[in-house]
Amino acid sequence: MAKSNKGISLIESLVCIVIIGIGFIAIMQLSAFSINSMDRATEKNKLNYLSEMVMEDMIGDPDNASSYGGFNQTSCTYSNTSESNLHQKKKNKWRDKLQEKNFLKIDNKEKKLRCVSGDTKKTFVGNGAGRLNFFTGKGKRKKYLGVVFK
Amino acid sequence: MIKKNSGFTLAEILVAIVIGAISILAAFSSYNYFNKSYQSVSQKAAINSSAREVLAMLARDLRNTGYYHVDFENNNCEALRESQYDYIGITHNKKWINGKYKQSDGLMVTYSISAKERIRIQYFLTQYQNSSDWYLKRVVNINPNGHPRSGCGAWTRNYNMPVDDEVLVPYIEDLQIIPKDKDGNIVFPVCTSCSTYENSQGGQSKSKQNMKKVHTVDVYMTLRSPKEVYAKAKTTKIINGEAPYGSNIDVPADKYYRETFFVSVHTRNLAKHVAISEQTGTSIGETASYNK
Repeated sequence: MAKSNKGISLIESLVCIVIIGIGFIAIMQLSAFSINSMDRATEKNKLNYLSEMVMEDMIGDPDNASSYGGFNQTSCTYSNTSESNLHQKKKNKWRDKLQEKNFLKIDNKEKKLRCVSGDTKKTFVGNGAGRLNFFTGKGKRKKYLGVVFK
Repeated sequence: MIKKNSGFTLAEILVAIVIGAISILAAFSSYNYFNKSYQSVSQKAAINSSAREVLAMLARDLRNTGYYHVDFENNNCEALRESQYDYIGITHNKKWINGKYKQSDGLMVTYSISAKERIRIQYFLTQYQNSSDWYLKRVVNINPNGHPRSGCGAWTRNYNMPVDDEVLVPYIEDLQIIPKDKDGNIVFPVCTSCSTYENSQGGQSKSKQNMKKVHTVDVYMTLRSPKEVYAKAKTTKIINGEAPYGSNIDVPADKYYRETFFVSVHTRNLAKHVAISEQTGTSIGETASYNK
């Protein structure tokens, strides 16, 4: 009785390994993505507290609150000029803190919040309420935090 | 009966072994990779959740700081001596709380929670057991000050009663509390347990006057991951807040991940906003000191 042993050829098994390998690469990317989204979650968490700062500054100066609107930070780099008005000084502070200027330096490199062109921070004040808008991810994702202070 | 024994040749077996080894290696290195990424994600998540918890608590306490229940003076059994009443105090340069890098601050705030009770809350850094790790601690006491008023019995039942004592944030690197007035300038000193330097700048009596001027409090909190995250050691510089408070810390190169959280709170019960009457244009607030 002739038995024919038909197995898998070398070529077939190599092709199989390549296909599995491609699958593995996708899973690796998934893991890299999860690390990335954890970083984003951290940044969003920090941004929440930073936007609280803006709200609290508005609450702290309610008679003058209308001057706290019109803050518009469109670029990621800027140079603050020295200001004498309180609301201008506060806006300078927002610009610094909202990007975490001078917080941490790792290997002598400043660690700042992620900022790409198109990311914008804006404030609006009207009818006794204030709002801070965030545009992140090249301006695609929008978020705002608002407060009524009067 | 002829039996045909067709096995593998040596070459085939060698090729099979090589292929097998490569796939085992791939599996092993991917295990390593996933393990590492899990570590780093979970370390970051740990930092985030403890920061979120404590900052919400700190911000709430700061917003209440100095709040005075309308019936407190008449109904409480705690001697109220305005001259001794501390609303907010920042402790810095004190050995027992100054943290891992000897530059951190402690915070004490008080506010009344009912007509009979005033609470004192203290935040400070403490070394965890015998380790070299520093934790943030929050201690709450009811009616911490003084002797009871006349007609209140010997000592009130809950005189200086501890109600809460918990360790909140593990692996804290630095905590800075920066008090500012309504113009955004630093108020100094604001201390209850003053250091030599603070004493040279007016100490307790100056602090008493300063406490009512505190309009905004900036809080910087730097946390470290419990376990190592980076593959390569990196140096870190922590810069939190401005002088004479504030810190500037050079951390030697290590593999830990660090993150600074910042929140700025308007202490609405200290530097009170003065409402302006729309009819008369005159101030109807308690103090005339703060108006813009």
